[in-house]
Amino acid sequence: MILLSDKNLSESSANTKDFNKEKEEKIESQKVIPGKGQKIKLYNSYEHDDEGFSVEGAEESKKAMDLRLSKVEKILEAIPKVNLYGSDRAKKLIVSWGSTKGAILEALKEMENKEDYAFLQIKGMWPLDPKISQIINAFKEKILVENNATAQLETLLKSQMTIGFTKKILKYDGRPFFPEEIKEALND
Amino acid sequence: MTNWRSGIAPTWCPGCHDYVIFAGLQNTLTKLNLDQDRTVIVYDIGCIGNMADFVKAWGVHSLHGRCIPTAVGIKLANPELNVIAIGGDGGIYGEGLSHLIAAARLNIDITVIVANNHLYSLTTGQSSPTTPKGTKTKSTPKGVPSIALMPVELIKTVNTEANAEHIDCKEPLKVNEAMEKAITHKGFNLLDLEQLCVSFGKQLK
Repeated sequence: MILLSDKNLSESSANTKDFNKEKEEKIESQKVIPGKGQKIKLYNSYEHDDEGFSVEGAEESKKAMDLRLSKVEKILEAIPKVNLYGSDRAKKLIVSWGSTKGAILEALKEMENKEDYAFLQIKGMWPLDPKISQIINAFKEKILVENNATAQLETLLKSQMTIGFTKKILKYDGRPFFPEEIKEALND
Repeated sequence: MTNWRSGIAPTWCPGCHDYVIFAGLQNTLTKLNLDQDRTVIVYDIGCIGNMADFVKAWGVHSLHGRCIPTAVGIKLANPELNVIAIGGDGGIYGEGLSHLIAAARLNIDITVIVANNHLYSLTTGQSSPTTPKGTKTKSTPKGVPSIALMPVELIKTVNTEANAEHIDCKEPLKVNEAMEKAITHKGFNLLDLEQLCVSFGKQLK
């Protein structure tokens, strides 16, 4: 699991719900670790058999790769889903990710034609949910908001699905987005 | 008697000193009669790291230069475990040097065994931090410009209580004795085992 974060998020604080202790204890009890009388295992990043010993056969290698690929479906079920703010029948959709969420929602509150806008926050980057394409393409106007210079999310979406943005709002001066800037760019 | 062999035959070159280290470890684990379920060996990347497949014990075949932090983590998670880290001079004195120093400063009770053949030999012989100055290698065709690192002296400077020894693999019995001393000594241990790569180390003879 790789957590994609940014400076604005990592320097902020927020309340979270209580972590599930019971679930943690269950995971702890299922761990295969030394000193508990379990079957000895080698942890190995090379292709390996059930005991962890390296294997080099073509058939075994393919089997191991197929097993890894089969996990993608399950990961897609567990990965954070998108958040859609506003009506799915709005004229325009803002697409963004990361710490831009607060500034976008704040900007939309101030907009005179706020009912024209919906906002899609993408929270799971990889594996990428193919349903994201259907959601975005249901809107006529698609606006990308990203706090980086090269529109990295657009690169990802374009590599995996057919999506064209009508407008791109990028900020890359080392500072987070301010709501006023987004409001101004949307009205531009 | 506990069987510490996985049954998989080593793949090292004929005449390699890694066999001495492997045999030394097998002898020592057997002699000390360690609890197999409480013995963890962490392997670095390199020829000696491939020992992961030949030993029967709890193990992690870790990343290049990162066998020590993995071993430290395991020891911290369960101090009752016997933890041994095995790697070469490239991984432990190159990529992982700061981990070695940090573990020595912590005086954590683990044993670090280094197969020191003064070259990155799995990749056919590039210079490592212990290659003597001036040696011509594949990565230094005009000779190594830097002074070779002295690992035992370095660790003794960092931690006077640490057990740090340099033993030549040409003397297998001394290797066995040093391993026994290191594994039983409470505190940090570095075993720097001098060896020669029979395939790519001929210029170091």
